[in-house]
Amino acid sequence: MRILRYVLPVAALLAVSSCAVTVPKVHQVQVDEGRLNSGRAMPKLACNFRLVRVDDHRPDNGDSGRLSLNVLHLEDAPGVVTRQLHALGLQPADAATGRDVVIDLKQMYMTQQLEVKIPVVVYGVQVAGDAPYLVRSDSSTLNWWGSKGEAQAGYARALADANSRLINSLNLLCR
Amino acid sequence: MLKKIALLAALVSLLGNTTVSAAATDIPPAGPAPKQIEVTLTQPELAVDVPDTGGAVAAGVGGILGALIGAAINKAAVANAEKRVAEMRNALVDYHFNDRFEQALRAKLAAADLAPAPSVEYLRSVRGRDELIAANAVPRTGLLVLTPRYAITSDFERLSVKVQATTLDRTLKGEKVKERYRAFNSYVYSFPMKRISGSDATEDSKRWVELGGTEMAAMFEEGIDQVTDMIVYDQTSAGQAEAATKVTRQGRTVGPTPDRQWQRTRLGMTATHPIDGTSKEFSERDAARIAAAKATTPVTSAAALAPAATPVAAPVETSAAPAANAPIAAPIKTNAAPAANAPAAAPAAAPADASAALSATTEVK
Repeated sequence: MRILRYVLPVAALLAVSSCAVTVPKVHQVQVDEGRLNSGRAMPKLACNFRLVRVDDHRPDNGDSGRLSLNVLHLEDAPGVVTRQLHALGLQPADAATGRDVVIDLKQMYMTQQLEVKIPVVVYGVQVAGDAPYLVRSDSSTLNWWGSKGEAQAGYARALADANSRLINSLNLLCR
Repeated sequence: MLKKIALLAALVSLLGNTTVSAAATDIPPAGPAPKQIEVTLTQPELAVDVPDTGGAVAAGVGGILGALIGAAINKAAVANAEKRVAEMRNALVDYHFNDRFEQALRAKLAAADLAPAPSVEYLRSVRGRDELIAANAVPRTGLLVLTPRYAITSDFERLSVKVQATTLDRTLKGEKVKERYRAFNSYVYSFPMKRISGSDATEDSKRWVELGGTEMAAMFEEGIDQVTDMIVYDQTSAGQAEAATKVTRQGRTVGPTPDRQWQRTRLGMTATHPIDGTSKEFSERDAARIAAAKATTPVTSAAALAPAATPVAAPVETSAAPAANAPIAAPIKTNAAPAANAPAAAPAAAPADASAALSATTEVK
């Protein structure tokens, strides 16, 4: 410990007095909706539900998170969620039968900690006017290269995970 | 080395010339330049501070094998922390820390009436070289970059609001932007939770969840209040004079008022407020303040009181919630408890409306 008393101030001094660092180029990456299909086997809906709408209540952030030097932007996130949920079997709002589902998109971002990338998708779900509940994805994985493709694949996994949890929760209401 | 000596000589020569020139032309001294501040608000949700245990192992083992082992250790630690923090995040899902921090700092800098008034830029996304050039960035000397963070330690024993303050010089040369760091500082306000013997991180995370989103949001409000006061104090002439005096290893107690007392250390300013993990002192205090304000304000509409009290989006209560990863996640009790600083009568400030109201005031200056 004693040696730290001398090493730390010297390290701090070196850091402060070191040469100027070059501000790196940051890549502004538009997330491609076509790459948000993870290919994961998804559960099937056990009864009919109508997707009334997907509201966007994400915090007022300037981007959709980042991975290494890639800053991600997902245009029309509610549209992406709507199309994915329709593909999973939720009916359009004007369908003749089915219980009404309103999705409140509360979070959709990518972040990283140490060597792990953490994509997050959070839905507030309200079925037929009942009390809403939350669905949160859990799909952190190792960050190998910090590339754009890896970031988009992470997003795809998080969306699939949130959608899978959503379908499972809706199926419990079919009993 | 020769280049450095030459540069140093040129600098000394330049300084000497400047002094002579100023004396000769007798130009009246200009006032101090306004402080330039950049506030980077990019943290999306409550973070968990996970120590880099894997990094130490990787260094010890060495090579690719060490790197892989270290990465695997860190992956497990982060995954565990993410699972434990999920319910806390759910409880805080409608609490928008970045908006609240920006509002508090804006209000306090304006109220401090600093001369000259600092020029503050609030950023919601990181800027790289191209973004700085596109934004017509100009060279800066003594630019203060503030990066707020709200986090819990991975042992789930301490919640904190921290602002990393970096002073740097920014230069632009063609397509290159360079930054030279001059000083690092931090402002920290933390809430250590009373330990229970034998309680592990998972159990401690549940104690936070049991406190509820309203209480945790009120704690973050207190943390923001304290650290923004620290920042503003350091921008006042009294604060700068105090900061310029030597700080001993033990540090010293500083603060503008008796209820704002912090510890000045060589690394910045800190303060803690220990909590017992059961009482809801911050949300109850805020509710009492709002009740008192209502009693003295001749306004009957609770909604009309909201702007006077600090408007906070009502956090979602998930105390009765199953695990976030359960097939059906936490039911949101939208009218369970009064919002942290919202009027008690307000019906859990519909999260949508509240966040819309907040975002309407967060344009970049």
